[in-house]
Amino acid sequence: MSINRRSFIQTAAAVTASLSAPMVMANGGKPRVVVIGGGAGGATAARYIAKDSKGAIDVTLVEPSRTYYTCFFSNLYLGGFRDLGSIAHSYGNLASEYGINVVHDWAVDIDRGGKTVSLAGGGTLYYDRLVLSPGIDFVDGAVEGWDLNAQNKMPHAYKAGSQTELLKAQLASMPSGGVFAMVAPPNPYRCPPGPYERISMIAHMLKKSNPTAKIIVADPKPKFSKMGLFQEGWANHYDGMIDWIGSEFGGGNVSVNPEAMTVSIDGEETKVDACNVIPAMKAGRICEMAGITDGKWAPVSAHDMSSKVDSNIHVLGDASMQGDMPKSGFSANSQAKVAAMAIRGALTGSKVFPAKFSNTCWSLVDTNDGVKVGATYKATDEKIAKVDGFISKTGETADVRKATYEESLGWYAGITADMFG
Amino acid sequence: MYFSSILVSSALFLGTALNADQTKEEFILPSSILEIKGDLAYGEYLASDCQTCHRSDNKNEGIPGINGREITEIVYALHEYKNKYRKNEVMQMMAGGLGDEEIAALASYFASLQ
Ligand SMILES: Cc1cc2nc3c(=O)[nH]c(=O)nc-3n(C[C@H](O)[C@H](O)[C@H](O)COP(=O)(O)OP(=O)(O)OC[C@H]3O[C@@H](n4cnc5c(N)ncnc54)[C@H](O)[C@@H]3O)c2cc1C
Repeated sequence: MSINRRSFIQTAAAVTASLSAPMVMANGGKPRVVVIGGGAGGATAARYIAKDSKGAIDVTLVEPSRTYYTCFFSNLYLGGFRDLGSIAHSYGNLASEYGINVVHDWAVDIDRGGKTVSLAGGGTLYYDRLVLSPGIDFVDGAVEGWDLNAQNKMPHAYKAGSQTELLKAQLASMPSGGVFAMVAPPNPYRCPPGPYERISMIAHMLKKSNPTAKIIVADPKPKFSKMGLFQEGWANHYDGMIDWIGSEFGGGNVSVNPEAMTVSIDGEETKVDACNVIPAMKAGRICEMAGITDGKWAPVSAHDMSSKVDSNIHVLGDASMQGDMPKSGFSANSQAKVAAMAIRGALTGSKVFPAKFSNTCWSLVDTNDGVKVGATYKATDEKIAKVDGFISKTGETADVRKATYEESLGWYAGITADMFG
Repeated sequence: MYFSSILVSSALFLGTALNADQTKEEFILPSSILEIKGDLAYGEYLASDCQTCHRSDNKNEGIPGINGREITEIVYALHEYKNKYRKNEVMQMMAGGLGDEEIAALASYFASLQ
């Protein structure tokens, strides 16, 4: 944002203490929490702070979209297991049931000295504690030939909604025997099994509608999350359909040409009919603007998810650099509860307990063939550290896999209720 | 460990294919564990981790609601998962990280809900 605007707000705050006084009175002197981003981390944090402080804290949630499409289960939409409406959620309950002030706008600047957030629409919000859960943005120039202007030709579909719809439509209109390519991202990125669940779901869909189609994955990594489980599933269900090219075989040496619809992998150019480019990721841009990033992500304390740069700001979910937890919706939701407890403690004196975290990621490989990986974590002074974990095994019975899938349905219903009330 | 002898002896009889029903009568917790009085406030915080899946409105859409269950039932269930007497890797992992006081706190809290 412009320096003028920033310095105006700073000067105004410094010179006229009287300006902020009416603000305090207007909300009855309550401490103020502003949450930026109404996703897995932000919606959960806003709901828990409002619910558990029982009106003692004024909570404002800033989120540009009126409808949040969960990335989780968006692959199942691609596979034909869910419709788009079933992964869409609104903020109505957070406002009406929990008294959260939901502002549909972009946060465009943060003044840490004056403790204010500027909105694209022109407003300014004052905070005592700020929660940032803006998710991810893409690293410029990460995939040669691709930038955001190419996202309609070669969608990323890594923020759910219209991008996911577009990818699905492009897959559906592939010619018989056509080629679909995915450019997979380097670590660390949102949802480690996400690209591979997506490949499974696309294979499931193509197997029905276009069984001679081919799938190519160019991957900058030598291995990936749940690799054994996915490769077992691909061999069982989609034999000969999927060609995964890892880094040892040049999978990281990739460029794309969205106009010509070609993908070049290790110097070999292929004409493709649909292409999903998932570039390298970084914390949502607002973290950079707030000046709390170190490299691509925002480092936080494991005890309360507070920024290592500014303890009045808590960073949740994908944007945070916290240690061992994968960037998942489950992780963001778990971190939000720790931050909510710490924020209530700081602002109202409520009891604070030692932080505990958990995560489980379910993935669907084919109809009733679900797999999962999970772990529990604790806070150390250095990072969020893994305590214990498990992963589904190859060769499990169909009954076990079906039960795992059914459990994932329960989890989806549960976490979305936990986020949106 | 307080029940290691119970574990070993009953495992001999029951073999490996254990499920909740078979183990109910075999898995016995000492009264020192059953008598721990759970801290409700601590239970409320710990429960937030459970409520990602076990919905606070108690609806079952693939994972059961657990509000309002008896304290003893919840204490037993969590200790059984913790000791892998009950199957389900997620629950074994979640309960595996809980101490006796934490299990008591969670049981008191969930029992207090509607
Ligand atoms: C294909 C796919 C499958 C996945 N499957 C799973 C799964 O099965 N299980 C799982 O646990 N996770 C899954 N994930 C990961 C999960 O979606 C993310 O980890 C999770 O959403 C992260 O939460 P967050 O709060 O950090 O960000 P998000 O949920 O992305 O929320 C960020 C919000 O911030 C808003 N925002 C951004 N910038 C601003 C700003 N400047 N001002 C105001 N608002 C702003 C955005 O509009 C957005 O709504 C999947 C992801 C993908 C892509």
